[in-house]
Amino acid sequence: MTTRRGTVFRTLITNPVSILALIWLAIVIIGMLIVIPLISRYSPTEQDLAATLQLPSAAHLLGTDSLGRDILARLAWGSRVTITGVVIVAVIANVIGATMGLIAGHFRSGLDATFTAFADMLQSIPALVVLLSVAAVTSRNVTVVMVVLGVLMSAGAYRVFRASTLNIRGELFITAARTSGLREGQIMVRHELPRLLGQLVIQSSIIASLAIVVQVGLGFLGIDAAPPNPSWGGMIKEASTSIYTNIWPLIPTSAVVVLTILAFSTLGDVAQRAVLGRRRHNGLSRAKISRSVAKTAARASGATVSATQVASTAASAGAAAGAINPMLVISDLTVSVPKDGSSVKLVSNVSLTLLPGEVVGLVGESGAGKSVTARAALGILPAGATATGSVVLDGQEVLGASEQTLQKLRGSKIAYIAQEPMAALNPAYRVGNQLIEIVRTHQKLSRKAARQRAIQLLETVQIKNTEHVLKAYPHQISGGMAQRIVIAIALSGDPDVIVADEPTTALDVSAQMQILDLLRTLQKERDLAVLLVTHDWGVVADLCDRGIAMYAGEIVEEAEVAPLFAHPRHPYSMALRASDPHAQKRGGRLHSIPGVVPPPGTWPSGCRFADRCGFATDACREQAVPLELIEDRHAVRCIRVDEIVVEIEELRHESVTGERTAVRAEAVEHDALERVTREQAAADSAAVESAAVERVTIERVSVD
Amino acid sequence: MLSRQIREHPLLGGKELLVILLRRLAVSIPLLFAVSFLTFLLVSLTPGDAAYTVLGSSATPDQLAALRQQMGLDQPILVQYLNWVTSALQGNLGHSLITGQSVSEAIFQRLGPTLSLVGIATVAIVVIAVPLGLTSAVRGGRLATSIDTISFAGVAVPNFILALFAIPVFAVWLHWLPPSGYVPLASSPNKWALSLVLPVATLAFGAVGIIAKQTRAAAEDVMSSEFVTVQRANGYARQSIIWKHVLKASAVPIIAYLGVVIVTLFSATVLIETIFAIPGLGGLAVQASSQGDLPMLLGVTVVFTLIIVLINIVLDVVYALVNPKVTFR
Amino acid sequence: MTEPLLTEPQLTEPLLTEPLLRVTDLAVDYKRRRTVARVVENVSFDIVEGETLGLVGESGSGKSTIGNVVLGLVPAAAGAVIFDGEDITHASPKRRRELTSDIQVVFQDPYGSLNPARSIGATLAESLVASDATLTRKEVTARVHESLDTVGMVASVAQRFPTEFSGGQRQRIAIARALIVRPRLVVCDEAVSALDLSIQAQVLNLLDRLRRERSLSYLFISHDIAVIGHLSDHIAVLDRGRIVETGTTAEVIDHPQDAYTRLLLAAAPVPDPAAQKKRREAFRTQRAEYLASTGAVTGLVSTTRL
Repeated sequence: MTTRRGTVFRTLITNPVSILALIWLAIVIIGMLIVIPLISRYSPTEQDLAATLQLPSAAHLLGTDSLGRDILARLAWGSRVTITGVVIVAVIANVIGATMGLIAGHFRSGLDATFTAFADMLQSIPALVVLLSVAAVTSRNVTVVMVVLGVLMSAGAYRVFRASTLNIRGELFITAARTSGLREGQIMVRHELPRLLGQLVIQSSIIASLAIVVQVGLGFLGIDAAPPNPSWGGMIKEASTSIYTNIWPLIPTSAVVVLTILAFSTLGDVAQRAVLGRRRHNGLSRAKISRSVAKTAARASGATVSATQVASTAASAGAAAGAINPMLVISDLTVSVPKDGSSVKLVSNVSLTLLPGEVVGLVGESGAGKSVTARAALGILPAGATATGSVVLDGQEVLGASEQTLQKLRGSKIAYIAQEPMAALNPAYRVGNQLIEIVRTHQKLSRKAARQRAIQLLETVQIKNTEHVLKAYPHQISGGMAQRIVIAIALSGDPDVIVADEPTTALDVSAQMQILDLLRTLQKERDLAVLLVTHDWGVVADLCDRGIAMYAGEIVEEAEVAPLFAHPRHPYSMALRASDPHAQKRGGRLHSIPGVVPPPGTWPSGCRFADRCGFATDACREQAVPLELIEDRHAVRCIRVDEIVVEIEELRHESVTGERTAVRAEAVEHDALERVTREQAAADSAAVESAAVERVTIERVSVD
Repeated sequence: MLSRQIREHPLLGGKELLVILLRRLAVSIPLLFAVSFLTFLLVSLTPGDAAYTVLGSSATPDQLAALRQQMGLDQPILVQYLNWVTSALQGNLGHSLITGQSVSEAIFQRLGPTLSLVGIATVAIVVIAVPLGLTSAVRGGRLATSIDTISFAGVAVPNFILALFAIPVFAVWLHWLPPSGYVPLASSPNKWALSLVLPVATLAFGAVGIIAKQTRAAAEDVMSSEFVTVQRANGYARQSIIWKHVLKASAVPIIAYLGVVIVTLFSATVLIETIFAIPGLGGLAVQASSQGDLPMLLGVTVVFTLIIVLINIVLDVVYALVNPKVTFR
Repeated sequence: MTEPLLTEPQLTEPLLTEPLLRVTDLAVDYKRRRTVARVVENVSFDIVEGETLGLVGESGSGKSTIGNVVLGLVPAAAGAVIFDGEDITHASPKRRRELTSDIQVVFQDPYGSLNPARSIGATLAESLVASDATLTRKEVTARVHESLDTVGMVASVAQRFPTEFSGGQRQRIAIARALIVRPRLVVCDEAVSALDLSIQAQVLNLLDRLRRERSLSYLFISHDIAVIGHLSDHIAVLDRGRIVETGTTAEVIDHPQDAYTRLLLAAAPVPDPAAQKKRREAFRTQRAEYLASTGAVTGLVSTTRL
């Protein structure tokens, strides 16, 4: 983690497979090209007609060919032609390809079009046939042939370098460098070239492996060393004449050729993985980052939260009272992913219940485990994850159910609306195709009837121009429209439960409001139970009957919306609410929560919020905190829940003067990575302050 | 079905298809001229010219000069080239220096075997590699590992070396297949098929691994995208998600790779046809090269390039069909 | 009544001084293949030294495009951008590079705006050296540490790499990079939009403090009018490439005149069930009003855009 420079080179000399490849190449280059010609007792052209086609022996380590010549000696001397050829090709192809690619990728415009058209041409040329012409007209001048091959192969290298440059160029940090006042040359050298170095290693290896194939092939056709001088291709040609009688000479020769090609392509492959692995790290969307953070988290926390036995207290109490069968019951759900031999929990001991027609909001910051919990309701877990506990959907266990069972449940019992509507539709098919397909999956309908039903569904989600929309491809529609279509897909099987994962986060505010409106209307009309994942308290306020706050993989507070907003009891709920910029007064400092959510695998064994909590004491950090019912339908995971009420009351009086909090608030900003102690002090005041002010805020939020 | 798709396709609906084809031609026509002219130029730079090749070293300077005049070799290179182009456009690619046979005729005779070889190999590659790659993307595990291994072996073992090992095994020891030679389809479909098994198999072997690996990579990429989760979560049939949605969404890089692979297949016929003694264009090129038969070589090169250009045009259309967003680079 | 009128010009001094940034009648074209679309038209605004202008609009409103024109990343089709009295609309690349020490930017995406292969220190130093090549190594290091300190990060951060930081921390680093050259104007292009709501407040506070300490001017671009309200002195509301309303923050937010502004204000959900219920109704009314006022069906509020 210390430095990323030279990752490719380091990978090549540490990866066991590429070490083997490097060793083989060393044997070929040092052993065959240099050492054996110096020490061998045989000349490569020396015939011994008494000892033809011999198998390996002490005298001839690799046996002899049909003229009794020592195969090892011929291979060693013959390596010169191939190695020279490969070096010529790799150098020419890379120099031309990289230079042109960098220029075209960096400057775009006319140059790019010209170069690319030229590369198109080069790539449409049947290489071997052209090389045959070149060989014919140059009286088999091997060097010229290899130079031409290098030029032909530069087209492939050009494409790769151009694409990488374009890729890097499109990245925001290049624009940032430009706005920092760097010259184009500096940008190319400092930001683009280093990234292309890895590509250079990859391309050299790939080109070398391809060049050997062509070079040996040409040798096979007699276009390299003039007989009786040895070359690998020539030796294969000679061996091929005796394959019906004695196949031996073909074996060592082919083996050397194949191993050399294998070595180069292995190097290319390993280098490529190193570069790709690195690229996956950058330029990802926020959602993906939080997922990959989850995967790369280091250690599993030893803590097992003992008591979520209060399992979804509020709802179960409600259910018991009204004797309604819940639609969805998640109990004691723990989801873990394997990481470096151990397993890391993403979500621990989560229990919640969803009644028919009820809308429950799961709130929290990124990395709280909201999405993992919500998707588990559909039986969808992160790749490689394992889950314990149970998820019961309308009386049917979902965890561990067969894919067939799940397929029947999904869409018709429970359906899903995703965060990124533009990514939620298959870009390769028209909207109509996708919608009609799912209609026909749920119901046996003729194509025509299914189309009618699809139009109905679009009307349900308030799309007017239905015919037009059915014919559109996803990239031709707006985000809000795409989300309506995803909702239509979700409704196609007439489900009882909808899981909506941040359904409006990616949308513009006015589109967001309309989608929220639509969801509310549909929920009422169809009496849907909705599990809504969001980080936005405004969305909870808009849609939900009940809210569940999650932090670092567990539920910290659960209550009906009215009390949750009027009297939140967990310090995290208070701070999260208070820090929302939409709820805060203009002019004056904004309340914020210092620090970040601890990533999975680094959760403390005590209260997981303690490090960011203004009310935390030593006792909070001692042991896992249970989720407890503090009043009817209101559960909180905090051991100081009652004391805090008093403290806030006191602080509110103090903070009215404003003086003290303002001074401390300045310090909050310095929540640097390593200033844990200082941050701690700051954190205290921030959360206290947040808590104290939030009630005042509630009464004054309304802007309109 | 396809024609309906083309008609209704937003990009191919009419003008756009024409635009795509015109742009490809704008690249292709200069390419054909460039390739032929460069080859022509190379030929003219050769120390011993065509007249020398025909008459041999015993010819007198007078004889050479006469022949040069007769062949037009005394004219400026550009004029020579224009003469060649003019007759080439009329289907006349000149005559072999060695046999005197019409180049166009020789090429036409040899087109069949090469096209069968490459055509069948391409179909085999697509039919085997794409399902294999897709299945391994879904299943992962051992299947994925074997595809990696095959793909690696395919790259590392050049197909002509593979052919040299395949002949003794399947033809000499097992007697399953003829070791070499080619039987035209017209004379015996059965023997034609048998004679092509080994050449096609050795030609396609490496490419199957490469395309399967690319298919797997592309499909894995698509499978991690949000729409697959949305489809799973909303009850789309599993088979449809894999074989319809993932396949089409990952088709673009697969087709791009296929284009590159087909070009290399044509190159590889040069060696494969030599080894299996198939009377195709590749073999003709080798023969012409070794005899210094430059008009023949020029003709073969141009025809090869033309075939590749046509394939690229077809791929462009397929590419536009599977990718609604394509705007032709 | 007459006296105040006479004294007024002296009281509102900014009227007499040149604004730090003046944009007049700006138009921007977006060329795509054969068609040209005008994405910004007739946009004019001033930013006085030490003040913040909030530019609010939805996606496609052209707000980021305007920021990019000010930064010189996108050419203007018409109009002028005047910085500190100098017309920089068509400044040469050389002049543009010099201007980077006066005009800086903080982008939206804290994951993409830092080169993952370069250490934080290298990224910050690069920005500084580009603006002043005469600095010694020691001075550069000192300035890097100073700017990190300004955004509340310790000096050792300089040796680390971007992937080691969370979104909020990276955005602080991006701010440090912008400020290290001591600019006078910073374009904040959706600078907090990618962050968790709880983290947005942290970064907004930081931006606010820096502005007060250094009398910086911000061109603060966002789709979120509530966020804009916290930092801006003046607000300009953009709808499809045109400014539909400008005024002081209090005027625009508390007494919006334009139907679109009212629509935007009503569209952001508030974290309070009762208030949100009212707002929902307000949104419906506003939307109807807006649609009636424009007569056009915009992509942003229509349900039928393709």
